[in-house]
Amino acid sequence: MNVHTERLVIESQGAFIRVRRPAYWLYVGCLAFGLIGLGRVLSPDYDDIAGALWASIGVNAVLAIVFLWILARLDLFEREPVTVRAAAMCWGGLAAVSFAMIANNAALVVLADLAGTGWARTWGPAIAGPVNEEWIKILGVVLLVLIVREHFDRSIDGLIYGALVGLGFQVVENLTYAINFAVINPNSDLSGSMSVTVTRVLVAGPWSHPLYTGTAGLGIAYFVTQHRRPLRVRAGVAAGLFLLSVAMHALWNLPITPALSSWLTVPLTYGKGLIILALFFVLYHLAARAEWRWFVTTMSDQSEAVVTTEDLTTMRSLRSRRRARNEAARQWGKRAAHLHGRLQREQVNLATLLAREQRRGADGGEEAPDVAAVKRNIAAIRAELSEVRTAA
Amino acid sequence: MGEVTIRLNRLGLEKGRMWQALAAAIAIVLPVLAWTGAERLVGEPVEQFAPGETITLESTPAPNAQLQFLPPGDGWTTELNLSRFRINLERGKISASVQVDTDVGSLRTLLDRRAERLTTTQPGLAATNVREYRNAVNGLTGYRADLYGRSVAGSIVVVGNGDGAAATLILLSPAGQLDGGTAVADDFVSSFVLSGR
Repeated sequence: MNVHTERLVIESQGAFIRVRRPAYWLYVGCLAFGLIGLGRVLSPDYDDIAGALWASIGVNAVLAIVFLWILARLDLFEREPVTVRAAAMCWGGLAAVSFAMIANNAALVVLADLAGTGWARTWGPAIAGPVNEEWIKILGVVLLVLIVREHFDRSIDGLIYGALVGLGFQVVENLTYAINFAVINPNSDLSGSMSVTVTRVLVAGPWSHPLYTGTAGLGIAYFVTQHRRPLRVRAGVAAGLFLLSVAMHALWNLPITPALSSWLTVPLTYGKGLIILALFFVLYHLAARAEWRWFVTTMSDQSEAVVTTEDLTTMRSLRSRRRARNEAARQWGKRAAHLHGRLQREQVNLATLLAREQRRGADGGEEAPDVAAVKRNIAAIRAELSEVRTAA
Repeated sequence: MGEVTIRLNRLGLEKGRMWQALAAAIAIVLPVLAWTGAERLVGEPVEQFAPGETITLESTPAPNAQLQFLPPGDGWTTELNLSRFRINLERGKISASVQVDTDVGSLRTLLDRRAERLTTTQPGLAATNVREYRNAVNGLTGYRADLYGRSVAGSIVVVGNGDGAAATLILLSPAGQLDGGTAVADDFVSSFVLSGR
């Protein structure tokens, strides 16, 4: 027994290519610059260390998959289009890394000249890295806003796109470290690349660039989506979150004195990471609550046949949704749990479509065909669910 | 269904949006221009070593091995060096690169890897005549090879302390000054104090 549902696509929401937008060509140009820059870094060594590089690519691919899975789950009420997500990662991995390498190298020379080589070696990464990298990465989110503004509906969208920019940056930065350490390792390319890759993934992986840029991205999206707030508040939040992202990055890059024993170095290192992670989750929690309030507001004038008060409460988090599905499974079996899951997905789809209609200023007369189709899906799922309950 | 009219400029791009892209472009290149501009202002810092000045290097990523040495004679300079584990020195047309490594499994493998890297990055250069090496002054042992190129010649020497710490010296000088270069290589290694593992 299967419920047949419809899917109507009214506009090409997934498309990233906007040839009429000047910012799109700026994005393309920066990507080409990044590709050439990275090519210059990678190509001289590629023949010698291809095996070591591919091994590192494998480990970083796992890191990327894990992060993509987590980010998909953080996005409670909307799955961002694949092309735009890919564009965000490409900015981080190609353009931002290339621009940051040039800026960081020059910055370290300047700092060494001003304050001495030893000082620059110790403190340079905590100054040049956060300032240059966070600036260039967040401009990727700004470019996305200029190119595909329609995909920034609420603050959390900026967090997701920012985190994707950061993820692309982190993966490619890890690869550049893998190449450098493959070359300088005294024993073999593979041990050089894998030791640094595994260290970076395990020690820095959970609290690295996705968290910093996600924080700054949240501010950018807040600025462009929260029109009802005064301009100075929006600008203040965006600037504040950008500064917070720089501070998080600087905290992670802060040197730990080598005089400390490993008994202190390890907890200090992980302590810094946990502070960054905690800050990020506080911000995410606030953004997720705003998301849920948006969902409740958007769906509040829908009939009980479409969404019940209990549904609205259930949709608050992934955990509460899973709890509702588990409860359905316990009472009426697995089929009911499966149908609950589909109902939840359709309700999320409906909220997104209704929000689009509200933005367009639809007068509430005739429903858009895709809105009507999702409502039909919901009705069909409810009918099926009712049958399953009766049978049980 | 909502409809939007887009006005295009002469380039076929949306009117009224060029300034956004321009502002974004300026913002993107801002840190690059600012830092590289400042770098040009400060110039290429060159450090001149005083006679008797000791250089200390530390292995990376684990700082388990340390190398202290004294460049032989005077007149050695180095460009800005942010690396802890390697330093490139110059005296006239002679260049010397000294590096320290930790957890070295085989000195012969290390010599092969460093020589291969060098000959790959400097086409026309070849490493030949690999032989065992022992420094008469400090007793450090390892391997040595000769470097020959179209217009340069020199030596590559790898020595270890037996506990995993190793140092590499790559010395290059214009062809014809080879004898002098060979002598300098021994002088360099004679001053090596290698510690750690």
